[in-house]
Amino acid sequence: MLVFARKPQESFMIGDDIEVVILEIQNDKVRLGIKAPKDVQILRKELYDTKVANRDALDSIETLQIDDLKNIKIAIKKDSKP
Amino acid sequence: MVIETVEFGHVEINEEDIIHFPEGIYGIEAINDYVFLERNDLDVPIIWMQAVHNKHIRFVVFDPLFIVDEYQPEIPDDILGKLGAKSLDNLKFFVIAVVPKNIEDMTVNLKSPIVVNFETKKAYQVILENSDYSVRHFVFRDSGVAE
Repeated sequence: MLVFARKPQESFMIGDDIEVVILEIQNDKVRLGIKAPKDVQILRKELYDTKVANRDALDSIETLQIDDLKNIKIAIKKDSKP
Repeated sequence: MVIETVEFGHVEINEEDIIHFPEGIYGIEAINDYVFLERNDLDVPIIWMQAVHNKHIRFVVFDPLFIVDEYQPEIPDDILGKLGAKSLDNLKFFVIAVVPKNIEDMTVNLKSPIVVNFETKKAYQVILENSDYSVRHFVFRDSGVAE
């Protein structure tokens, strides 16, 4: 992973089209501005991960056997904390 | 009214059972109406979040307290406003499960629960402020139980 330091109002480029500006730093939060072409989708990582997880959840139902759900019950009871 | 489902065939529901997701859920924004169905015969608190108008869109969800001992979601204020809820007491939480062929690998999304206000019949998928909740919490491996 590339690591470097930037001050507020400084920026950096990703390729030729994407510029990331450090706007403000306060306590444990950094405010960023991103200039990018319209066709580049920018998502917070946890939102992106949630999108992928939702899609995986949906796909997983297609192969789900109802009988497996009975196994979930047994497994959760077996493994859950006392 | 009667809705069509893959697992349960035709299911009779009441109009007032329909929960409206104004923004859908992440990645499936165009589906806005769901019902929460329970299977009584399984004797296990698995709930199906079933789209009303598309039988193929459905999710296995759990009450998070079935998975973890404590669940303390930190919800952004603007979401509380959108849900029409004054406090967390009016809200019900569900976590979406990915149920792979090997059940041992089942995960739930503790980071982005479905938050429902059953009084206003509104729900959102909310990305919590909590930094310690995972999008893929392994139900069996991350439960803190020694192997």
